[in-house]
Amino acid sequence: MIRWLTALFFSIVVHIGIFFGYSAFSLEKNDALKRKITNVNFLESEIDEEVEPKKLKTTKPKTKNENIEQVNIEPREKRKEIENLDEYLKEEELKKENSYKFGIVEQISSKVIKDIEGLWVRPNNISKGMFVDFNLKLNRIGIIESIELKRSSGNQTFDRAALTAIRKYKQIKDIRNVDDETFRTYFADFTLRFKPE
Amino acid sequence: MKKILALIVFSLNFHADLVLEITESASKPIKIAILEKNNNSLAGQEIVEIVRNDLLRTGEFDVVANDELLSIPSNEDEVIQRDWLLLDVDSIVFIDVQSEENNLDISYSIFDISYNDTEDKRRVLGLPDSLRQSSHYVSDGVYKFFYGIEGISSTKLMYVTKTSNIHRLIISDADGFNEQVLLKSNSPIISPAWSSNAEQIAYVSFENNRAQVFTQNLASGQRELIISSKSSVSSPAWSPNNKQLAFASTKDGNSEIYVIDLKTKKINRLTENLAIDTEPAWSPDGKKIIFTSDRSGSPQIYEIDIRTKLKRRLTTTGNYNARASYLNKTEIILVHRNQTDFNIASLNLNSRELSVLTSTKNDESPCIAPNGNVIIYSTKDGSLSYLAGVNISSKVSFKLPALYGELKEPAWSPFIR
Repeated sequence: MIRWLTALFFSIVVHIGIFFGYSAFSLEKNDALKRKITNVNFLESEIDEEVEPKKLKTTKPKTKNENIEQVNIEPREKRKEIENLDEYLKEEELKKENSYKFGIVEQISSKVIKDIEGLWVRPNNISKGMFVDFNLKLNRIGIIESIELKRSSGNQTFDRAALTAIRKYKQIKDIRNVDDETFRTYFADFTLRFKPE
Repeated sequence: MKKILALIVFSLNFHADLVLEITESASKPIKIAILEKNNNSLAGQEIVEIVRNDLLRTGEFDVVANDELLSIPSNEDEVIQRDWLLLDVDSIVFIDVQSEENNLDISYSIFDISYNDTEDKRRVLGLPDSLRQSSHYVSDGVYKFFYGIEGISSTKLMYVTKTSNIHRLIISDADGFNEQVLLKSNSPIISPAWSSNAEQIAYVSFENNRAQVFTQNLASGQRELIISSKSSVSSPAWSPNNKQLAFASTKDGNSEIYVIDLKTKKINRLTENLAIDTEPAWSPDGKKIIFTSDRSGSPQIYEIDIRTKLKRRLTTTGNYNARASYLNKTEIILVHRNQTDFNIASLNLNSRELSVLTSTKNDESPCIAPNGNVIIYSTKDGSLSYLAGVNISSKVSFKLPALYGELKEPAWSPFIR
């Protein structure tokens, strides 16, 4: 009987261990993927209450490596939870990989935004809060293969001016430099929103 | 933070819905070419030239000169997209003119280079002697296609000139052509104003040795003195419905603001104090009037509700703010003194933020184009006074050719259909 109870006890402990291990891993990935990106920085999501936006709002434009360092900063409590050195190193590697990936996504996104802003001549009949969404599909070398009006602003001139800017852009050349997974995850199919301030 | 952002929404299959938000636009003109379709008629060339100048004057178009073109297609089918992409041209405007004995038929189409197809086709019909005005309608159609608001090439300007002590009240096209003298006088003429249907005007004439307000029907030329008074009557302003005229007068002692019903001739006094109240202008809904008053010790802009007569001071920055008019229901323009310079400025009525719009130094008499996007004003360079303007959206400033020693008091007509 004691043997059975011991086996049961160990089984529970092992399952709890697996559960917490998986939760910690997937939460971390979620945190990273929920971040908002500006053309220069990662900014914390407005809806994510676990993080402090203030910290990251004040960060200056960073290079790729600086971003990696920034993401590595974790709360002390979380560090304490990690007892196994191998596990810790693996996680660190993963974080570095993610940060690098986000750095690339951020860089390309910022360039796309900047380039299209240079091509877009907005009309004069803009009303407050007006915006138009286009869904863009790219091929692997960044050529815009399809432009679909996802949500019209209700203003034909405004929609046309935005569409003209996209048509002029034609190709996002830097897409060629990203790995297949990043391309599939972010750039194969994305949304361009024109929303004047 | 929201200026430029890309939102990534996580989903189970690790596909992120990336949203890139474009908030800023290029502050550059739209590059177009204007070509006559099929043949090269004299009328066609003239129309192309008028449209080109109209669009260039807005500051919001860059019109490519013919000698810069790599190929000159005579219709849409002959457009070689590559040539035009190299020139970074957005669109080609093809103009097709059919001029017959009693009819001028202008068709125009807008061919989008990146789309490589025609996006818009329109027609303007007119009489053969209306070639300039019909061309202005083409310009306005092209402007509206790209910028979404009405163009102003087909509108009119009214202004006062002075040469050899002769004062002339003149109406011309918005490009300065087709001048027509409405009144010629040895005495000064000031404050011309259009009725909102462009059928009548009002102005102040000193022909009887004092300021008097006259109205004049543009079709019949009939003049009418609005009130007969031995005192000064000045600064006429038509109500949006053209039934009333606001003015300033010293008929009760010092200068006050009044409104007269043009049909019943009933006069309603709006202000009553010892200060000088002058330069009334109507709000777009006709319920309020803004005016200049020195009741605080310096000229400032006040607003009065016509029904309740409740007043409020609008300007608080600087010690000289005058000659105000509504740009829209939440913004006014005015003459503002900035140290020693007199500039045209805009004031947001909600935020009370004042923005200086001009860089010239002696600006006066600002008036607003009917599309609300251009301000024209008179300014001085030494003894020469001329008209200058500023485009609100493109921020482009321009100067109209100084054809007279003195040209001032501009008034922009409403849209003329």
